[in-house]
Amino acid sequence: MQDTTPVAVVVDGQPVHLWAVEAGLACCGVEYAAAATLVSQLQGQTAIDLNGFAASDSASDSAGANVLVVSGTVTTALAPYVVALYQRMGPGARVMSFGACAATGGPYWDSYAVVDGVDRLVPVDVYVPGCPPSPEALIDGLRTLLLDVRA
Amino acid sequence: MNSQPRRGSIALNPPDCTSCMLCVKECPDKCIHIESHPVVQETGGARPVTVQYLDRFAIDFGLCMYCGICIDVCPFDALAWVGQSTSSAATGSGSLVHEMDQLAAEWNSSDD
Repeated sequence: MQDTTPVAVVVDGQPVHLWAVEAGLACCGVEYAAAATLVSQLQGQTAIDLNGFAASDSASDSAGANVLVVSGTVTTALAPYVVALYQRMGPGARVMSFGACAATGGPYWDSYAVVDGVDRLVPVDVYVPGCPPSPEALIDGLRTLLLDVRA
Repeated sequence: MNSQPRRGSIALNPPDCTSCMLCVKECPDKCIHIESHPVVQETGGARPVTVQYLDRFAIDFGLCMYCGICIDVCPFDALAWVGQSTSSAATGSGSLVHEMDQLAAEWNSSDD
């Protein structure tokens, strides 16, 4: 859960660069990677274009990232590591909750071993709903996040 | 409207809902909340008729898996897929809970 990836986003014609570190804890981790790849093929349909997801060498660890994407079920066993990952990020770091499990626990909301919402651990800036969220939902989440950052 | 758009959301037509609770019971992660109260109507028949008046219908899209089981089981087609693309990201967990008026607005905005 330490892959830092550059996300170049164009909003209103202006490129904005995000460095996303993904805490891929369950199936949504795969869905996030697949959606992020697919999103680059959707350019033209939306105002947002994600380039790359090639490996970065300038921000190769979570300390250089400014967006934490929590994708997947946050189990109580892994909860301390999610918090540690967030604390390693710089001030002003944003958190995206990707998928139903990260938002509320999803189908496991009643489980003794699952945190019912990552917002119980770290402050969440944007929630992307879905099980899994569609690539369009990821675009919408990034747009919402960027508008929130700019405001 | 009831055909399955892959990237859609779920909307409600409140007049069609009888508060039968089938969607609530079938929802895999219990993300639908219904509150209702009985209303006795004098219809001029042999007995008064008791119907359920829908007070609250809310879907928590933070929990929802968009599986569509609620749409499949609704006997009155009060629930349906709407939209082709989601514009659903929220900045607060509470705003992922769509109440009845919002679900109805989504229904009314989709006349295809």
